[in-house]
Amino acid sequence: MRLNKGRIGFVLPAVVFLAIGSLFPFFYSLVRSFQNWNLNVPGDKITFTGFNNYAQLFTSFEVFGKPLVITIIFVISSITLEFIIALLLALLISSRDIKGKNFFRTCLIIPMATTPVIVGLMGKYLFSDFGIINHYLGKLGIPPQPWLGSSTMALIVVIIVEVWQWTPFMILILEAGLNDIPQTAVEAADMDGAKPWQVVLFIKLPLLKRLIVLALMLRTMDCIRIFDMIWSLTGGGPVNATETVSIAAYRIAFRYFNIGLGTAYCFMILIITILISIFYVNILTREEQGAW
Amino acid sequence: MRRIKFRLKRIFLYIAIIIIMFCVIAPFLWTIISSISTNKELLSVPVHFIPENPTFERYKAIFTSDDTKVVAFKRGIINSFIVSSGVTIVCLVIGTFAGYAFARLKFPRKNMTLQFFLFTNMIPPIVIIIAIYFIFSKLDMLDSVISLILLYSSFITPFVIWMMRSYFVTIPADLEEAAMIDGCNRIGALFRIIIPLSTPGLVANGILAFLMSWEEFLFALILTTSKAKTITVAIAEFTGKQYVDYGLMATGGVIGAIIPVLITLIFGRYIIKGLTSGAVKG
Repeated sequence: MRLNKGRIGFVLPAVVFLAIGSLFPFFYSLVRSFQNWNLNVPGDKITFTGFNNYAQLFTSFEVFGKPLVITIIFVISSITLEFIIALLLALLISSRDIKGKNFFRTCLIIPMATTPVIVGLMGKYLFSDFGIINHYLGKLGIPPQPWLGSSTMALIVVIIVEVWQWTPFMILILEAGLNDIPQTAVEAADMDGAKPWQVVLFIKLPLLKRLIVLALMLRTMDCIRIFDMIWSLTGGGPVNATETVSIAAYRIAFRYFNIGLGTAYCFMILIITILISIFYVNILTREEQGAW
Repeated sequence: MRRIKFRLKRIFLYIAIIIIMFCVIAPFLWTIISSISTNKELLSVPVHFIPENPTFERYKAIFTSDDTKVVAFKRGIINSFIVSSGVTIVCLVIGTFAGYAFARLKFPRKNMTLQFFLFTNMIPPIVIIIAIYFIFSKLDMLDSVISLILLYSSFITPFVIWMMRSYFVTIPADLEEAAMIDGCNRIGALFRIIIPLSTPGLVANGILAFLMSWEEFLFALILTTSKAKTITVAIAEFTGKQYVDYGLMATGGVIGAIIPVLITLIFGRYIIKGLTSGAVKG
């Protein structure tokens, strides 16, 4: 009996905290998303308008569709690039005795430890019209590019900065996974005359699958909700060209003060996030039930 | 022949590593160099790599000037320290108890609660912030350091609970049972046996909680207006709409990045272990 006494007390503070920090705001927003609360119209009566806000999101491409497309382009290209670069580098580095490997690893976590806002500012500085990147392109004979001034270029810069900051994270995770692969499996394949690329493709990658899915999931979730780095790098501009869903929702709620539409927007983001995580979790559970 | 091939491979490997290191470190170096170059040199063509007259004027200015942005920046550093330390303490205390409960105790709906904690971690912050803004403004809690501590803690605690739970699970239960047979109660066993054994986990989680709150931007941007502004909000204000003082921006960036980077360099191994072990073994 003594063992069980007060066991609720251990978790209660955490549950209360969470209820206040997430649960209550969650339902508050949910209710608001069905109302026409617009602070720009003073004295306007707040009434329930059903799915009006949601309908508005779907009828106007500029409001919801465009930021969503930008977010999808951003997420898919950053994550693909991060994964490919990291996989190649992790394969290169793993399980070889490199002098100063620990120092190298520590250097790799510096970008991800740097505040995203500052990373954005550094990007803004390096890619500015008279910045160092244009300077070196000039030396190679390429005319200076208006990196942050043109819509396509700005999105590319945002992706480059994101890849710069988070590829090291992928490298570390994949490298840890590669080091965990039993040496015997690789040696057996070697004995059977497998070429190095065959070992990677048919032995190492399948063994790493769970870890890869997990790492991709973490990055996808982070990229969808990205706000701070893009905010300080481009502010969403030029002309909304780098406005992801989080920034768009922020603008609607805190610049145009359309709270009803803003909360509806947020719930669409949440639904998309949940769908994507279900997709990933499904792959993971299927993996675990699989042969290995 | 084989020898030569091996050598070539090694040279190739080291060249690759040097290139990666360069890509990782160069942006930082250039920011640091810019922060100590004079304005004239910043705009000069060709670019000066080693500033001819390095100047620490901007660093001095950041600590002495009366410019409103600079004052806000100084205040931001202090606020961020208070907020991040507060969050670290709150998260570690709550996270340790709850993590322990999830690892060892039996209570109704344990798995459901655990999954619920995980789910709240998945909610994008923008979904919560609109509601939080209006709730806080009604309670007169806007622009306050304490509100930030409470709010950040509520987001970081689930993460700490999850990590501490996986740490506690690896500690054999026999140890506490032995202590309890010797007359310790559960709390005593927790403090005398489990916590001393999990110091590395506590350190890693404390660092991560500190870094997460130090780097948070969205909530601080919306919830603070003057006296509780954190460092991230203050730095973001260095870049104006029309005119950007790149020198000052670089200086602010260097100062703002020093603390996380130092922490990472000192405790790097803990963090790598914490991040990778959870994912690899989970």
